[in-house]
Amino acid sequence: MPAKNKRPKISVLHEEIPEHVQELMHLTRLAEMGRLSASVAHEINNPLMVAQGFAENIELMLDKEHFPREEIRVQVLEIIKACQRMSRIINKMNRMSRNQKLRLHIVDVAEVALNAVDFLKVQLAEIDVQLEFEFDRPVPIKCDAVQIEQIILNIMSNAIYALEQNAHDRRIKISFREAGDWEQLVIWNNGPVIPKPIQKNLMTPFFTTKNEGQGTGLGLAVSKAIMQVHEGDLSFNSNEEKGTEFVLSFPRPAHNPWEAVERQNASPIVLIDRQPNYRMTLQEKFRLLGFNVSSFSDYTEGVAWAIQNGVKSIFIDVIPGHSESVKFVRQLRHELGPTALIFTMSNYPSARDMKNDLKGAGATDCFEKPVHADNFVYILKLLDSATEDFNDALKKLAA
Amino acid sequence: MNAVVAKPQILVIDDDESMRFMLQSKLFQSGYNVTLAASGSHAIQIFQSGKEFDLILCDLKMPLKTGIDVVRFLRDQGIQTPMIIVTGFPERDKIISAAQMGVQDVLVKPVRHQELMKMVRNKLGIDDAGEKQAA
Repeated sequence: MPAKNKRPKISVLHEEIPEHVQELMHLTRLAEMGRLSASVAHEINNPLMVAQGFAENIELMLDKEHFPREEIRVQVLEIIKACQRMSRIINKMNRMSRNQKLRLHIVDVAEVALNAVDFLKVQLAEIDVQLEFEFDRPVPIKCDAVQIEQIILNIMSNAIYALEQNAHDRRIKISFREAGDWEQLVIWNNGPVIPKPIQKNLMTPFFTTKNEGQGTGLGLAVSKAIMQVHEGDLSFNSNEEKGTEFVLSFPRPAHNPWEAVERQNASPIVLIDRQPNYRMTLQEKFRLLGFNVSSFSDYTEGVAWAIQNGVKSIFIDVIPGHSESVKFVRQLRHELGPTALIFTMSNYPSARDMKNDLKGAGATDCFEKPVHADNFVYILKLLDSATEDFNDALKKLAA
Repeated sequence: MNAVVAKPQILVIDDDESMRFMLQSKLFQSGYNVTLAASGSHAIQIFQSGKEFDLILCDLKMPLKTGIDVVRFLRDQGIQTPMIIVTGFPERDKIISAAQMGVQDVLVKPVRHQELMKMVRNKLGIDDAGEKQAA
């Protein structure tokens, strides 16, 4: 393995969430757990069927004349793995229903927004919403990315609901702006204007305009409360002239981890991600930090280019559940050699389960999106060390 | 001279690797040949390569291309291979969409061995004796 530095343990600042906000969040979680039943059922029923299926297979094998001991052992290990998976899911559900603290990191809120967009891509496509993503620089904020993603999801879901009333021309725009000491994320849609009487009560707990079973009315009230815990705010404007926009305002952190710096002869980087907006945000971060990044949407093309151009630092997006992802990393390690830096990224929560498999296959490290500023410090250390090796290699070639 | 009866070819589509392995083991033990696809996209590629199957077992909820996308692809290509949907959560609207496109057989995970094999035999037109001979 090429990594010279061990990934440092990050001490995460935990903030207590005020009691009145915790109560709202608890109610929302219970409501959401009802709506999450599809995902939960799928998550539990899969390993349950795997365990049951292998147990049934073993029962049939025991009736055979020749006892296939090794085959049975393999299937028993799969049953154990499935049970461990179910245990993790149930622990996750238990954690969800408990009161929680904020886990604060500095992240690019643009990446957080893209996670939410990716989660909703099927719903956006189903009603043909045109999504515009206006990004020109990383927007660092200190936040609990999971909570903020939930807020964005809530606002975008409401926008999609409203846009169904447009016969055609359904648009959502995500943009970013500075306002004094604030960094703002703006989510705009061209759906019907929110009627004035409704605007007055929009952030009130349990107020909803949706039909029964479609909304609890907790989302915006909790969202506003969470933004206030982040020392920010959630506001909105809705009028005929400008459409409807929701604005998440965050205090600008003292330090910008993605400020432009000069880097001498930095080792080149290849970035492979299917999502063009995600490629753009990550590419811009590395460009500001002084690296030359080539980005690709196609894995084969990106890897071929990396090999052809002697690039030894590569970031790839992976999808959990795909054994192809693990095989691909193994192949990549084989082709790029033991000193290459191979980082995987994913915005699927289940990516965490895949991490050991990916590292076993040759990944240097694995990150969940959004990639925190702390992780960037660690990545930069490895990249700078790779730069030294790269330049040494160039000198040897020139000599 | 007796004709050699080829083993039925079954395509299993599921993004869960353990699930694919389990179903492959189960079906192979019962005398079927199994091809695996880890995703809707992978399954579509397999069909586009010209491979043919006697039966498809397909999960519904998969990243990128879902089971419904696969059903839609097969319908658009005029591929008549029988299909069984095997899903962890039978979402009503998805089941209705599949039924409207001609796929009416749905099994909800976890599926017991006997229930799965009965439906597989049924879709392949094999009687109970067929499975006993293969075991």
